Amino acid sequence: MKRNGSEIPIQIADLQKSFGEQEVLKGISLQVKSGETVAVLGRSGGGKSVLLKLIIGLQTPDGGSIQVAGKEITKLDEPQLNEVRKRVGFLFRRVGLARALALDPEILLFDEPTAGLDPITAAEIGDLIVSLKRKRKMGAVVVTHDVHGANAYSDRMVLLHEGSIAAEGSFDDLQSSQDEFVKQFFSYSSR
Amino acid sequence: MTMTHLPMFVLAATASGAMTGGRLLDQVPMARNFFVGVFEWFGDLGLFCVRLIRAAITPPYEFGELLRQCDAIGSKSLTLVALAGAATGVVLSLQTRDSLVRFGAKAFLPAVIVFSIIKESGPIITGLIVSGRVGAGIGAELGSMKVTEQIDAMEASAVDPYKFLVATRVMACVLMLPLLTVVSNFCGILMGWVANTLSEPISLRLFLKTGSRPWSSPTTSPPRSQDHSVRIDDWDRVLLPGNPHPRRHRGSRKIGH
Repeated sequence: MKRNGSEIPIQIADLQKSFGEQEVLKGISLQVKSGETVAVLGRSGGGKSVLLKLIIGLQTPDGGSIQVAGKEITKLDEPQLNEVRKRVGFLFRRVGLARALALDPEILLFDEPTAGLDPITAAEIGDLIVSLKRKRKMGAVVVTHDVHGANAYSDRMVLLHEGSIAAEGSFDDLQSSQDEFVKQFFSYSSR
Repeated sequence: MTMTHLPMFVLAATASGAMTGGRLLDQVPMARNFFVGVFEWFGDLGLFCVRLIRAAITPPYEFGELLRQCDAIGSKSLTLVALAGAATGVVLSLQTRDSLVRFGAKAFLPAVIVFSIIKESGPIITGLIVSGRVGAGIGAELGSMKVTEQIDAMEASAVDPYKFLVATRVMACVLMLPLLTVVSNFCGILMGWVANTLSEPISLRLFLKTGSRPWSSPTTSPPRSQDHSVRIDDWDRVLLPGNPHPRRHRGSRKIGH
């Protein structure tokens, strides 16, 4: 997979996922360009971690399509999925950072990397993400609750609400949004 | 539980539920769910075993992790298994001695100890000790890894968790349990000899010889004036004094105190 802005490493179209009667994702469509860092925000239990697990193939969506590096994830068998996973680094709660970087992936998926960390260490994680983007042209999808931390390293933010994308854009775009949920989310995060 | 007992149990459970206040027809879904749950459990177990076997026999192999698990399961359980086997041998020796003396079969004590430990007690005790210690530890370790999403992280890193976590532990148990059983048997027989020697000295060599061949010559000859020996025929049937020999016997021999 070439590392330039013309290729799209992750392309999600109309993604749906339910657990029993609980609909977690109701038709999410998202594109992550090569070398781009996207922060996925939202309430707890809003489907952010589920979105990452669907991208990496740990769970199977109920509908929609997920393409990573041009390959349809839902149609791959286990060996083919492992080949894709070697090109995508995944960190759960800071577990396996070294392992994920050792394979020199082309894109990293972070699941709440700064959860439970002090502000200094959280800032260091943010600096690491920025450094990876600059030096290794590595893109990232970061699931986080830390709005202001995400502002420091993300190129774009996506706010999930009740299984759908409530807002998408830069930090300034979301902060100036007139949507009630977006305004409430950003007002609480700045307290 | 046989197949005839299972439906009877379900009907009894259903009827008792009806008698406690529920309507009988309301208990039918409960019985159906019970049957479905049982079949689902066996089905999940079968699928798990198939996936486990496939992960164990297909390359690449996790030899490093297998060795680490052999150390954790085998060598770390050695002391406990040896102590349990030793205790079994001592208890067996002390408790069976009195019974055998009562029937004049004290000479069979080594054979009783050796055969019961090797055939039954040793494997059972080893299995209980290892399943209690190792099984609980494996369950706790993998459970905490699942809760902290380490297994998901492993799978996301293109590492097969069944191959790395499950197959290595199962293979380590398969390899280590027979070896631990041998250790348990050894300690049980050795301590059985020690317990026996404390009351009636006997060399270890004679103890093992008598234990491995219970039909060999008696260790001591009974005094002629008090011949309370029990005779056994060539089919190892005990012939009590005064009883007529069976019609088809070919001979008999004495065993003494």
